Amino acid sequence: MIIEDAKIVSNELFSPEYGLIGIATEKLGKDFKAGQFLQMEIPGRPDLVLRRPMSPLRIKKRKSGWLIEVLYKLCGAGTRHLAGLAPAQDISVLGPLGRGFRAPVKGGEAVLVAGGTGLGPIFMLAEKLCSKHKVSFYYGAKCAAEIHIRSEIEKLPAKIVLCTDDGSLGGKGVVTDILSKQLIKNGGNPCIYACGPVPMLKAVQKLAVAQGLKLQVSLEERMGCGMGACLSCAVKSADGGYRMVCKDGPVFNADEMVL
Amino acid sequence: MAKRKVTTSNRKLRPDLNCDLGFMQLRNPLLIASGTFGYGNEYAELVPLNKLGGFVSKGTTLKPRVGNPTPRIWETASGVLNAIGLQNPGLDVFMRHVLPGLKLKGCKLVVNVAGETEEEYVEMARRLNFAREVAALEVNISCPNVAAGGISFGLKPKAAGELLTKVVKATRKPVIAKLTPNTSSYVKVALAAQSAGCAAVSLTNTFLGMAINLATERPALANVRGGLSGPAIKPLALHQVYEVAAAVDIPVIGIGGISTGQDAVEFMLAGAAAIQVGTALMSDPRSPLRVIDGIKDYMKERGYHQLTDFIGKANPGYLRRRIKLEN
Repeated sequence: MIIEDAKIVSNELFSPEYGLIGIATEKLGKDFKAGQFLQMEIPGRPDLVLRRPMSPLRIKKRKSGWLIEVLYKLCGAGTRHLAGLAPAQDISVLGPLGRGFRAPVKGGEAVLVAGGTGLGPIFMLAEKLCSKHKVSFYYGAKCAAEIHIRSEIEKLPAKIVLCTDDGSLGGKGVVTDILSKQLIKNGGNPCIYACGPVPMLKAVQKLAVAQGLKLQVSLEERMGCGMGACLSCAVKSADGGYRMVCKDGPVFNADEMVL
Repeated sequence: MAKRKVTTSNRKLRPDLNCDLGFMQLRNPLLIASGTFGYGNEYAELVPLNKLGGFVSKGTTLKPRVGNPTPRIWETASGVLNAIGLQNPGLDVFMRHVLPGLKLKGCKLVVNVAGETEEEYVEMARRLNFAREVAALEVNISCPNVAAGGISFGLKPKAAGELLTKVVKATRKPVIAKLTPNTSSYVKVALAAQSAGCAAVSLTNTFLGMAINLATERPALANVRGGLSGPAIKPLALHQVYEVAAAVDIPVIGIGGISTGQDAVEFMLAGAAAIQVGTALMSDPRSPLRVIDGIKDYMKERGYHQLTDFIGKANPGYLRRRIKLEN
């Protein structure tokens, strides 16, 4: 775990709601597992005292250091301010934090499911798994304008299934309906990995239970420290207690949690 | 207080940050506040214990507590509302599994205890008597986020005095009473803590508050109300520290929105013998170390050799009381 004063090198708005920010770091980026996250300061806004927890979409090695790319949704004062920041701006980042996705057994098949900003950690996972595993990649959004980095997704050596609620791109309907048909058709014993809105995760969990498949989900909750100390980001576990998104997760085995 | 001339040679001055509270000696006046540092392990990679004066453990109860439903935290302007609800593994797990693994490296460990009944507080104080690693107890009579106990003991001087008298009797460890700001009687509660035999008082805990989530048109916290901390409360907390420091003879530990060396110095000038940093850790885990450096820089700049050269300097009531005590 490292805290680093890094620099924004790119910040592109895909739509009024989504942006992709690129952050150049010196050390932070090494040994970053897909599904782990970083805590990002909102620079220039000391009144926003909490950092924003975000999972990278991609981490590339640079000549010196790393380039961390994060897909974000503009949903509050912090992310709206972030969207207005220009390259060369300093930004403090802390990570890698939490537990990432666990790979399937050797040679095992993986089914990846992303919804909305859940694309970030799922895309990063896809890039890691594709070389060693058979991967199917399901990605759903409201409409074509909210399907991001499509050309790069389509370059992945994986089976790609895109869908939109309004049918403006790919299959029409929610991603889990399409996933359900395919899972039944394909059979096998894949591990499922999902990140997205809670209704999507619930639907995927239902499918996994029905088919007896293993499912890992990446969860979200309002977070404080990101270090497992303040105990803010609790999520309910199946044993009646709570787990911390920041330290026990954000990736959990779905059967151990109450979604 | 003799005025020392500020000269260029002060740059070479090596201020002594040792902080003697009488019952506990700290290598510097900074402790990490309860609830923001777990049991000291979580931040080990970023905040080395060997740099801190001490830390106060997560609020610990006799039996394990699962804590409140979520959302438990909400950001407000320059502040944070929280309603964790004292989630902790209970005293047994703490003493058997957490304490033995702690490598304190000269950092003083203060254990924050909370109970629903007087008996629970007393039982914990008795058991912690045998923990060598524990330098002092901080008795939480100020948690705003639990249904029973906590704040209900801290709102009235009489209830606080009765509880604290029993706790002090039950243990040989020094007892620090952590006070709530959510009462106009805070000076009287502090005096009651002193009469009960407490070694010090620490203040303030969080201020009761709430926020509404416009997306849901419901209270933002599942618990509806929570405790406000962070820079937003600094002037409020500072004022209470100033008032209490002028009224009691025991050391006052200042808490409330401290995130820089200047903030810490303000509390000390108001009469705080030591300070605690909490919420600032969330903004930046490096803040405690920066606060320590900031205090040191201030002392160099002003030519102060030790903390007592400036503690209480801005508080005439505090100074008069100290002169009386010395004579």
